[in-house]
Amino acid sequence: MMNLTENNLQDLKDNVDQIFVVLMGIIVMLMQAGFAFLEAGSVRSKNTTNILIKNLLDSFVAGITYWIVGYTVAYGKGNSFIGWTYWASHDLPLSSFGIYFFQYTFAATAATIVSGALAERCEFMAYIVYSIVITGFIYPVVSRWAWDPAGWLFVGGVYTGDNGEEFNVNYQDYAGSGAVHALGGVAALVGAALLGPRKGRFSKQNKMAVTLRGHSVPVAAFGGFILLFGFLAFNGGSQLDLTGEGSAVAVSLSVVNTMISGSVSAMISLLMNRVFGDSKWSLLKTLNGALTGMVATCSGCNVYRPWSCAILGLLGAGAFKLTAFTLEKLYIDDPLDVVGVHLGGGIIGVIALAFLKPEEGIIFQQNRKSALFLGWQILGLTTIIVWTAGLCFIMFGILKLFDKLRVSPELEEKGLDIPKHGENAYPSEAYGHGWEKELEEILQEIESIKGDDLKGNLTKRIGQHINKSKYVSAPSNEFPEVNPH
Amino acid sequence: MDVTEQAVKDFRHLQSNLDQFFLIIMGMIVLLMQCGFAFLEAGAVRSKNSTNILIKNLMDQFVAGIAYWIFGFPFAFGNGNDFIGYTFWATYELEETKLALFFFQYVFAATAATIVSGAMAERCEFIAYIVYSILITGFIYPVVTHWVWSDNAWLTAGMDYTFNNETVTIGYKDFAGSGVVHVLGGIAALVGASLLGPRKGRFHKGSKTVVPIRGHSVPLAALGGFILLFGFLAFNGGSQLTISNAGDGEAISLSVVNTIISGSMSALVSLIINRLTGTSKWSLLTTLNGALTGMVAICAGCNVYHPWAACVVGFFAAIAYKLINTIVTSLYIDDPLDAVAVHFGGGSWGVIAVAFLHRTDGIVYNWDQASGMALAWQLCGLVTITAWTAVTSVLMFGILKLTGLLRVAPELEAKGLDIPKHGEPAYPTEAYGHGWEEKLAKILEHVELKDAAKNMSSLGDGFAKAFLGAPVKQTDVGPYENPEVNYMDTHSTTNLNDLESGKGTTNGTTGVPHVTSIDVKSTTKM
Repeated sequence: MMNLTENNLQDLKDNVDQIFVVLMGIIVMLMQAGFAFLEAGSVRSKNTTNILIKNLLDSFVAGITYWIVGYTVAYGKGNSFIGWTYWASHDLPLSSFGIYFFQYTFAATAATIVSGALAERCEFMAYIVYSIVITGFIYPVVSRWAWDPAGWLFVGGVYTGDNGEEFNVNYQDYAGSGAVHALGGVAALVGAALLGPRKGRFSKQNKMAVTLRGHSVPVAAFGGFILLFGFLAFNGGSQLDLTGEGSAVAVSLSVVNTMISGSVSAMISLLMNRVFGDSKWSLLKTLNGALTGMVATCSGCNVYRPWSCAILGLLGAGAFKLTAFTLEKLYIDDPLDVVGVHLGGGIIGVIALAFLKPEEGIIFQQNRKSALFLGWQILGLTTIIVWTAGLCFIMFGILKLFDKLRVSPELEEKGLDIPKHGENAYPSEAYGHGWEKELEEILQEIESIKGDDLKGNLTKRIGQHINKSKYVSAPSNEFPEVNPH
Repeated sequence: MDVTEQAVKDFRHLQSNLDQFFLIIMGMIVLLMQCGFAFLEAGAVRSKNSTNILIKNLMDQFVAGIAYWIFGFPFAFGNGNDFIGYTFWATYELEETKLALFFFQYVFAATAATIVSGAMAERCEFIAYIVYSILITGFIYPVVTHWVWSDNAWLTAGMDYTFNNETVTIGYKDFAGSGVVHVLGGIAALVGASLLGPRKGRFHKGSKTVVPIRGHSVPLAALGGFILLFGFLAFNGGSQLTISNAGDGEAISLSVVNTIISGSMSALVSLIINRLTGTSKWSLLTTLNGALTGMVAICAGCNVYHPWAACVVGFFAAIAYKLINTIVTSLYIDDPLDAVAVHFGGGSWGVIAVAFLHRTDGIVYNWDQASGMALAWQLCGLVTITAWTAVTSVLMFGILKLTGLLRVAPELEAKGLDIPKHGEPAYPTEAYGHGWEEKLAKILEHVELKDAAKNMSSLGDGFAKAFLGAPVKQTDVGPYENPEVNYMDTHSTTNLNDLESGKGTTNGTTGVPHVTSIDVKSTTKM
């Protein structure tokens, strides 16, 4: 008869905790695929391979950089600003490897946010450089401040209450509304602003913004679905353990809250576009709205009451719309509305925690402590934004000064897939077996058109013939919408 | 507190934590099935309606996320009477440790609703879709769940019977929801599709013609199918609801194994049935649907079948799929995804199969009154669920139809829903083909139209030559069968600098570079 000892149980608990964090990290890895396809579907077919490889490489650049220097800076022993042990996981105890892996997936996420805003015109080397700097330095330092026990934001301040009692107030950010998303959003903003808009996107004289549509809504939607799934692990896994008292409850609450906030934000975004936007039921805006709602819950989904997340969803949808609108006004081109989702949602997430956190938030107690809580949230958010914006400005600025940031106009025109990667996303010779017959019929019909300028409006003609059904007014809908401001 | 007491307390906490996490992780994987349905449906509709069907599948999780949260879960699992529950509105006062269960039940509700969108594809109004999703996830499905899985579940509780001086309790058995989820979804889909009417051009009653309206992308549909097959393992495995009790691991493993076996059997039998009696081809889409039907059918008892019984379930599931498909089509009801055949066909067989193949109580093992009564209860459950769903669906879809909100206008159906409804064509032409217009222009330069139109082979050659660029001088002219080798429009990196600096040989009018040499290595990589 075996004696159940505390040691047996503790061994099992340790194992369970580690596998929990590894499994959640594996699912967050899948978010790389989600980002990849969301971005691929949102760019034109000539740049699809380019954006895919950039998302593919995030995992690998982070895999080396975060391993060698990122984790060191973030979680090595050091001071409240930065760490300096565990270079390349040297001396890192094996029992911490699960957590290392999970933190690595977060670093890869922070970097991959930026590629969406720089899509279709960013030089490949510039992408490698910024990925290294973000995963190796900019993000790890911030994550240390917010999450390492030594980090100054995590430590916070000690204050004396009216009754002489001391209490602690700090910056709280459970899954990184600020540390991951606001950071990524700011980096994306600075990058996109310095990079400049895609050719044809804006016309400043006419104050027009042209919607440059992506080549495949299904591919983008696929990426979105994967992101929605992975986000649950992103938030659930941030508990970092499963066997502590109340840990599973925190994980469950995180997942439920994330779903509720995402759902509300999605519905509100859907309705907002229908009523105030272009009067359509927009899939892409709904998707982005859902993601914004999920970003907004990150900071406290482990403790929020579910009804607060409905409020967060509402605020998230508003923040997304506002940010996207502002960027367009400033003629900053953000192909994926990344800044809206991550910076907009992130700001809401960080600030709202000070109001909605059960028992400590301003809604629950209005006193000096909750006011200080809000103060620390604002302080943390501001520091993260200033730190990221400053460093990114220097980094992207240097790249721009050496003309390494943006591709040449000819390349941008023709597309980056062939010259940069030698891999056309949809090589024409791989298509059409069986289409020759259709083409034959098309050519027969074209031949019957005499005297027309065939080359002009060729696409329109081909489309009409292929589709046979007479779409009379639809062709004009197929060209980019021009929204005069 | 002595060590033993502390250990027991810790152990109980560990059990609770693990049970909750099990539900969360299985629930997350079932949520991925929303993605699977989305792409199965997207690939099976025409490109003009792809965005429309995608957003409808995307919205399922969000509509359920609100409707099931606020009132669906209370109806299903709230404390109440035998018919319906009425506590835990918006999870108010729900014990924290039960949140994981809430999440798991929520993903099931989203699944029930999403079944219906397949049958209504390409012609259903968006508002109608939102309305029926709210009603299914918020009311129709939760009530059935209350009858089968809640603490007041009268169907599952059954009645006591005395046979041979032994008293047994016999009730309705439905482990992962063959009846509760799939029969319900299938019936709602059937009612919806029949009230909606077929797509234009699908049937011609006069000549009794059925036109197969092909979807625009088999790869997308297959992707969706793969994800569904993966997610189904969590759908069935997760229905054990706990992992920390004795026998849980075995039950979960048995469920997953049985799901695979039933799905495989059903897939293979469907493949063969279609080869022999259907389109006489090895059909990917039929096989996929067959696999899903097998997995649907095993839901009701995957935790209590011997694996050989799962084979039997899968075999008859394929037959049920074919049978229901034939009946639905012969009634001129248009079901683009065969949702009714998969879910009602598979689900109803699944419910009945439990009575026969349950490894201890099934008719195949004990031919006695108790197992006969069990069959009666399975049928009772099946009929109840069918009747409830049919009546509520007729009301729901009927009212929508009467108010003219159910179906889109014929012009919209003809042009496609993506642009007018969503402003987002799935494949906007202007985002494609940069470089392709140049190629098409070259066709017209190089191909003699009159001759080409009459002679297919010369068109093929002219097409190849003009479309793909001039043939390439190769250093290695090996026995390649593929003509494309000669016409690759990409080239080795040595030309990259030339292209970027504007040098290198390019076709003056189109800017597409001629390739003058091919690196042997890159050719052999093909």
